[in-house]
Amino acid sequence: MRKTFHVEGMHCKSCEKLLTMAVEDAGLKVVRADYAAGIVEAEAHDEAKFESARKAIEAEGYKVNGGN
Amino acid sequence: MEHELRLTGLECDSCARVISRVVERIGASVKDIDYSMGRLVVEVNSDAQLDDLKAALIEAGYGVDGNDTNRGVMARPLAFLGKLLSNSTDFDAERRIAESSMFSLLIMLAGLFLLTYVLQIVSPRFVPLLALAAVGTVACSTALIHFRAFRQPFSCMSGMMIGMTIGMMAGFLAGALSGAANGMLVGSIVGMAIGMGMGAIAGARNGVMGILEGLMAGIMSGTMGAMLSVMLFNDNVLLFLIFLFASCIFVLLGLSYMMLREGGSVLPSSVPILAKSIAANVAVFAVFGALLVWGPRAAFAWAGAS
Repeated sequence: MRKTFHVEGMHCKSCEKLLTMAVEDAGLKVVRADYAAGIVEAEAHDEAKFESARKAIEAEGYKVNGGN
Repeated sequence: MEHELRLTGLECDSCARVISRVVERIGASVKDIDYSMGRLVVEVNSDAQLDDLKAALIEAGYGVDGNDTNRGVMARPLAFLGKLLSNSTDFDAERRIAESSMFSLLIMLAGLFLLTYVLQIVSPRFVPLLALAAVGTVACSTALIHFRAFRQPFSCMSGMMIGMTIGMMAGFLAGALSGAANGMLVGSIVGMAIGMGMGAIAGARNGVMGILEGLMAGIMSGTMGAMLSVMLFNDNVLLFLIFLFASCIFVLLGLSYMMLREGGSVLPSSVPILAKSIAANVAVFAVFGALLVWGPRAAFAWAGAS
């Protein structure tokens, strides 16, 4: 299943790259990352992984809002 | 051993963190990084690891030791095409859609060859039109199948754009072919019908607005396609058709790429049963082809390539 994270603080292309790597290292697949829209969409088989993804994003210094 | 690299394309402070991560993922370590100078000093355990590191940095979009940054407009589309054509597990669903489209096209062209040169039911002068009809059918249906394989919603703007584009391309191509073969009246009606139909199916994902957008595009392009073919009757219609088809197919490929960028890769489970798609493609081609060859013919109509 997929989850879209709304991330605050993405200001350029390298932020997309950084967060993509961070979420991948947490064991998920990144569907897309878009700094203009401020989103990172990830895919995982198990719900618990999304929590690891959220923590990974926050560990890089970005803020995650809500998310659906 | 230590090694120094000159990097270009560092745009902001996040880049330093991206670079550190790339280095760590390779298994090497960063000894020193000077963001303003683009200087990176790493500790690697072998030349092979150094090469891996350079490749990873280039893939991340940085220029390494004088190589240009890999960030041109065509960098990402070409990378996608490369992955699609290889047997990487990425884009598995997209690959299956592309394969079934190629297969449909092969069946159509084989059928055309059979009916024209073996069974001799179809006159050879229709071959250029029918070949274009095969390519056009496959191009439009591929875009539609790709779009309908997405489960998550597209934004209103994108959905309308996709509905409009599919309707317009289908209408143009069908209208131009039928206009050439059957004349203005039949050509515009057939072009409009096909354009409106494809446009409405594609636009339905986005509600009434989407359907209207698709219908409008079909009306406009069906009539315009037929009109252009008829007006070019004393000129080189076939040359025009080739240009038209090449342009429309380019647009449809770009549309699929746009859908990929916005919606991500399609889940393999949401790809429809491909045998049905192939059957639908071939059926549409058969009916449309029959119309071109045996349908009503106006006074000015296709007499073969001049």
